[in-house]
Amino acid sequence: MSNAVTTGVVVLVEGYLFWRYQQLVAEFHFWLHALFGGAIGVAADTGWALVRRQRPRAVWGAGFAGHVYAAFPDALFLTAGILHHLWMDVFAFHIVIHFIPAPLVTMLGVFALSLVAWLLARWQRPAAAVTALSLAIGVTTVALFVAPSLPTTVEELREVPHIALFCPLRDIDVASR
Amino acid sequence: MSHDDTAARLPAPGVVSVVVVLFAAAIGVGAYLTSSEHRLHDPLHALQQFDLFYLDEPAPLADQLDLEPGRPTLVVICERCPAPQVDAQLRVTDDPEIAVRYGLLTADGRVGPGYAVIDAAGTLRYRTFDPAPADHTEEIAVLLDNAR
Repeated sequence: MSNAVTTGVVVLVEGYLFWRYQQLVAEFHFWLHALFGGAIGVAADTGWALVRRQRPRAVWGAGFAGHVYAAFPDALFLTAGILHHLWMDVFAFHIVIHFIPAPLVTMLGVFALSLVAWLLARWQRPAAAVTALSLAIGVTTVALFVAPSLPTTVEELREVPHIALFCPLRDIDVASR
Repeated sequence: MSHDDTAARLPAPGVVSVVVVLFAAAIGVGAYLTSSEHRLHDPLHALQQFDLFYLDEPAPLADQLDLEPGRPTLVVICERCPAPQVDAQLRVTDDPEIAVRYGLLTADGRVGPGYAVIDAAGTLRYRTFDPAPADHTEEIAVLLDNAR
């Protein structure tokens, strides 16, 4: 019964959070922090269960706790008007995680690996669970390692291939005269 | 049907939870990545409504924008979009020359939509693509409050 209550509460609160982010057209941030936070929560619960040689608890509570931890800077912004700062990386790499390659797809993979590890631990296959957890940690570490640094000038921004370095519209105007 | 038969047909413990959670996440991420808003977002997606003052340089084209020192400024850069109501200097432009200097012109010639925040000292602190700045007054107000 308590599992059903936990599941219901988590689904309701996650639904509210998604709606709140959607109002700001910020679904990218919702999914990024939900997936990585959820992965951290599930992986931590799984790791702790493996250490104690027990089955991990239901996946909902741990995943939700991880999401709340990872998204805490967003709550500070919305409720207290506190901007993001670099030190907020203490909350599940809240800043640098944006810059990893293909962030949503990568984090979906990491989340999936953590769930597989949880499932294997639940089935009492500790060696396989440790392998899945190691893969999740390895993928995350490599992704964070190759993430580029934050740009600090517009000139650096314009080195991004899809952002114009010069004004193509003016060239078109000149050419058409 | 015996109890053992029923038990044999049930999925292994936890499988349903994992499948439901993964399915919901994959559908949600897929829906977002194929949405119309996503196509209007920042080409450097990490900086889409990042809410961190990552820029620190004199505001480009300050004279052309007629910036007055002492108050923060919101520069909205887009073609045909309503401007948000904010307590700050407000400049709205679709000039591609300004857009390119603020990193809000895409390589295929799209002007924004987006905005930049210049602090009271005339320093450019932030810029982002945003599909609908007028719908995000709450978010922009927080940025401007921190730019005073």
